[in-house]
Amino acid sequence: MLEVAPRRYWLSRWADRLARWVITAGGLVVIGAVIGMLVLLVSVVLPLFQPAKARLRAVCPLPVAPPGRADVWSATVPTKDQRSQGALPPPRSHQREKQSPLTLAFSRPGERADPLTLTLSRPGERAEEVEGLKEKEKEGPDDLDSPVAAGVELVEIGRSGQEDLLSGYLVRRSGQVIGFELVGSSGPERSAPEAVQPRLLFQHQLRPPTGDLSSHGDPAAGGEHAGKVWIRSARSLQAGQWSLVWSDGGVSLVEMEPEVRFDRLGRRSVQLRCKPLAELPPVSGSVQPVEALVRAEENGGCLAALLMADNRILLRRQTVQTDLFGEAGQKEVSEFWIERGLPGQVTAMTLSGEGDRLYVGTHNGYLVRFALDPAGKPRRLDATWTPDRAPVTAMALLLGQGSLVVGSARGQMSLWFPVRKEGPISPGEWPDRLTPIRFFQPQEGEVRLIVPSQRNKALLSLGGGGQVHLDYGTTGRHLLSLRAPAGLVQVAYSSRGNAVLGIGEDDQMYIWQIAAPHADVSWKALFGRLWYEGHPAANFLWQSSGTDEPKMSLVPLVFGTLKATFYAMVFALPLGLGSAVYVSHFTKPAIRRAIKPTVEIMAAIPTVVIGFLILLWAAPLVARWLVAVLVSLLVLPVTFVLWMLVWQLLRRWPVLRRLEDGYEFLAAIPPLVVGVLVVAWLSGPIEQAWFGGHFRQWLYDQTHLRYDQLNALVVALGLGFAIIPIIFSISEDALSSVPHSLTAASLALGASRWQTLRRVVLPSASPGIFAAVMIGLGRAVGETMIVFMAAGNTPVLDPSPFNGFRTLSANIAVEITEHPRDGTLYRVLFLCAVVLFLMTFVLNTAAELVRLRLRKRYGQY
Amino acid sequence: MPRGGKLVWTGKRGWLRAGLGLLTVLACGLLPAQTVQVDPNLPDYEKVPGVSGNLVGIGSDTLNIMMDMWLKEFQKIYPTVTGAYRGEGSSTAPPALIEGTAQLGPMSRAMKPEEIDKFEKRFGYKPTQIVVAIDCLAIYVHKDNPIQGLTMAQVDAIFSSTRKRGHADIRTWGEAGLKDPAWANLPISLYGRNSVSGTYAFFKEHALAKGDFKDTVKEQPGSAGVIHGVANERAAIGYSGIGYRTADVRTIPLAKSADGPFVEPTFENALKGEYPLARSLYIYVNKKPNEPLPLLVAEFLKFVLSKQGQQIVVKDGFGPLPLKIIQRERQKLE
Repeated sequence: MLEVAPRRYWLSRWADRLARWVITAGGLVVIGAVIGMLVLLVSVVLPLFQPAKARLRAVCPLPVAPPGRADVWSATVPTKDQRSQGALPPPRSHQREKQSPLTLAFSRPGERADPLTLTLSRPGERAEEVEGLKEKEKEGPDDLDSPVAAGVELVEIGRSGQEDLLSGYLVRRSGQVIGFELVGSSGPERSAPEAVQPRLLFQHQLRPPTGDLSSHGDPAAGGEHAGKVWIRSARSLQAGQWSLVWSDGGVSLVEMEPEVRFDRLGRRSVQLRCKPLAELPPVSGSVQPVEALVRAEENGGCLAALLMADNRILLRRQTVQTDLFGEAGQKEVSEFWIERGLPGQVTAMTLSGEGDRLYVGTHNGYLVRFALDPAGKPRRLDATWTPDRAPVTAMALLLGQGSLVVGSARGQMSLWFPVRKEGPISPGEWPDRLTPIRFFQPQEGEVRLIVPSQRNKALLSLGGGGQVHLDYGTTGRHLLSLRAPAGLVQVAYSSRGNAVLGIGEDDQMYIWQIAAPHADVSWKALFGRLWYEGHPAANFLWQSSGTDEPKMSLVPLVFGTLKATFYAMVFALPLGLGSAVYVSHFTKPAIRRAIKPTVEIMAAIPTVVIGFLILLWAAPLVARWLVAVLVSLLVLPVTFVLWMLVWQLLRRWPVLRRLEDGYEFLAAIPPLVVGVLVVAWLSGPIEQAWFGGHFRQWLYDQTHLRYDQLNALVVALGLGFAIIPIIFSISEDALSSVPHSLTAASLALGASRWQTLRRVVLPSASPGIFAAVMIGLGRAVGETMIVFMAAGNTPVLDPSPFNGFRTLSANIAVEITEHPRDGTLYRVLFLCAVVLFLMTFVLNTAAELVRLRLRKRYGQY
Repeated sequence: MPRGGKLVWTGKRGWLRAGLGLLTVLACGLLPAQTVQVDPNLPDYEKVPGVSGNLVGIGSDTLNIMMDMWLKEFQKIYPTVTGAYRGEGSSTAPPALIEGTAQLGPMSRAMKPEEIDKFEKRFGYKPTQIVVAIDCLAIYVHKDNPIQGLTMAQVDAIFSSTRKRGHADIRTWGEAGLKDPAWANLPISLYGRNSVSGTYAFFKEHALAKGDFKDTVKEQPGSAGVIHGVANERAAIGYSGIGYRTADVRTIPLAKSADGPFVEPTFENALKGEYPLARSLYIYVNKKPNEPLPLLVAEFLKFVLSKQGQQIVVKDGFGPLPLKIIQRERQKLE
């Protein structure tokens, strides 16, 4: 029976139970917090790996403006308030005011029983009604109403998508430009895609350089075509800029851009700005251009590459000199022909943004590259086979004008860019060669059109089977495929990269909204080697900002973390363990009581102070005395050993005998101090004698190793300061807690102090020592401030101790303030945190398992 | 690479410097001590009643000292105004404006289209850009470095791993044109800004033609850090704003092309369009179209675009704006 008072008994039982609950709860909260952190980090990272999404926003027939009204007039868009008040269609003519703007509305043919009613008026005139839609007159080859060019713009406003503005434009073969807005695609009652209506914003007639639509007819066409000039082909080098070849041989460059305007009352409206930029009158001679690429240059000049019907290319450059204030001066025109050097019939052509490179694809699968000098004079650089030798049907340069995407008649899509040639280059030889880098998912049928994105390295391609592919250039990843019920014949990509307009064979317009916010991320981009533009080979690179092609490989960062840890452990481990062993077993308890707290104070120094001191004091010092530091690393151990031999003689002296009982370490100080001083004194002559007076130069000449002031050596010093106290403390505790009975027994049996240590103490303290090392390692992996300040933050994959590195933790510290929330790089930084988390987790788990095993084996006492 | 011999005037270096200096003085017709002056026709700042509140600016490190001086002077005029500025890098300005944590977003580069889009998505209109000063991005070398000048292609080859301007790689000072045996084999040590900085982005776009930096560029968190690094290392080269120059470093003139003239980093050359690395410094604000800015922000910007504000620009070592640009920018505040 219990001899304890009942009340006390119950009290202690309740106290026990309470303590157990509190401790369990605390433990669960800690585990929950750690898991919660991991879940939070992963939730920010997951969207990186989600696929791109497309949503159909509008399906409607091509907008039609009544023919015959070829004058320029424009319409304002009724704003949301007006729309909601039902301000369409406009009232009857007698209510019209003189200066009122024009409003038009269309409905889909067949929806209403009565024919379409339009009310038109121009300022100063009475309104008139035009009933019905006239039949589309066939006035040119194929169809003068068929669109040769299209554009789309989606301005996303607000989170819900209800205020988005969706607008676009079409350029018809007749030269008519129609700008429209899609009504009903947003708003409080968002309609189904089929119910969206195009509302006309703008109608304009483009004129050929000869000025008159009906001046020069095409005699070859004959009949109905006589007396009409139409657009033979339209090419775009940049969204919104179109170079048009007219049937009379004239070429014009037009810029068309929808823009959002605010009127005086703050109401938003979309206007289409249509501006002619440059034009070239028809070239004299019987041969007409088939296709043209015109690039406008500063101050009104232009560069045109015209492909003529007889397979020659005419390059024509017009430059205008101006000063800072925009006053135009002289005009200079230069013309060059490319006649030889084309190995086949030209089937595709593209011109770079700067006007310095011309790429030509031929019917027999050749890719020819020309360099154009400032005057426009061409020089053929190389001609390469495409891998499938099929006719090249489409070409485009991606953002940055470095990478070329080539599409062939068999549907193959490949990416090329110039790569520096290896080996010596003879004078006059071009230093690089156009090289195929990667392939995209093939198109069905021939590649009809490639449209590059204006924001990043994505590209849109239209295939012969009528489907559209969205791919990413740098990674080769296929993002989306878009299809329409009928095949698509024309496609346009918005300048913000968020909308695609497709014109189907059934004359319907399909508009998709695209969301591909993390298109540039793939497993290969993050963890593999990727071949970036301008680099000689595929590589692991981290260079995340200031570029169209962010390089986001985590491999240099992981390598940097491992390098920091390695050098820190190489420095800290011998010192920490050695001093722990010495303090616990070779000195008196009094000394141990003095040293241990002192070392623990080292752990209390804020790491930012350590980093700061390394950066400003230690790194320049090491750089100045580099020879001394390196020589002393070799010389000091040797000196020490020699001193030990000398000590065997000296210790017979009675004065020094007193040092024997625990204070031997004092005797170790003179050789170290004297050694350092001697090496420092001799470092000058040593450098002169062995390294030709300048060690860093010698190092570079012999090994091509650079010495940076902020490098792994000095960081190891700093990290050592942070790690040595941890390793020392814990392993010293482990060593001291080996039962004295064991050491006493071992000594009693005649073993020396060193033998006892090696055979008895170390094995039984091994779980603790291992734990100490692992904790120190974990600390080194996660250390941020010292590395951030003292390592130079250069993301190099180089194991040399003489240059810097960038770790995962320092990378997060450097870059987190830069990137906007929820962008790709923001999420990649969280991925760095996840990788760090996992590294530490794996390390700690493995360490714990090993420690448990060691304890089972050795820690029986 | 400029033709050999043209750069190394070892014997006549001092005479050449004096000659260039004299020519600059004569050409500008200004006193040798003060080569930059504010346009005397600029409007003075006039105090208006009712200005008070707290001004917060977050953005470029390059405008750090200038923003502090502007705020201090502004506070002298209006004692009830408090202000604070945090310059961590140009890329911190757009998120601050979008979240509303700052009214002023100074940047040493123009906003990227993605940043403008995010702003437009949040507010429905684009941010307003006000040009406040001119800066020259100078290339700094150690004061003992004898190099006479570099072309843009050489600068690209020194700093870039992709070398888009087409020059061969330059790793030592000998490859950059120094024939002196003490320098010829010395490997070049590179200093630059970290990637948060608008200076970094500007240099990447204009000097490296959007190429990549070498891995060995030591990234410093502040403009002064670059100068400090270059001053302490003989073989160093770095880029930073002209306003951070100290006596321990020297700037080198740049030429746009191999046969072009070498142009010093001065504001006159920047305005003429001859110095290749000249840029504008901006302050972005959130201004609703057809509505005026809040009075505090509008008056601060009017102060910046006045004679007193531009005098502070000169004091900090940057270039003041000419009258035409001041008038154009003041109109944006209406």
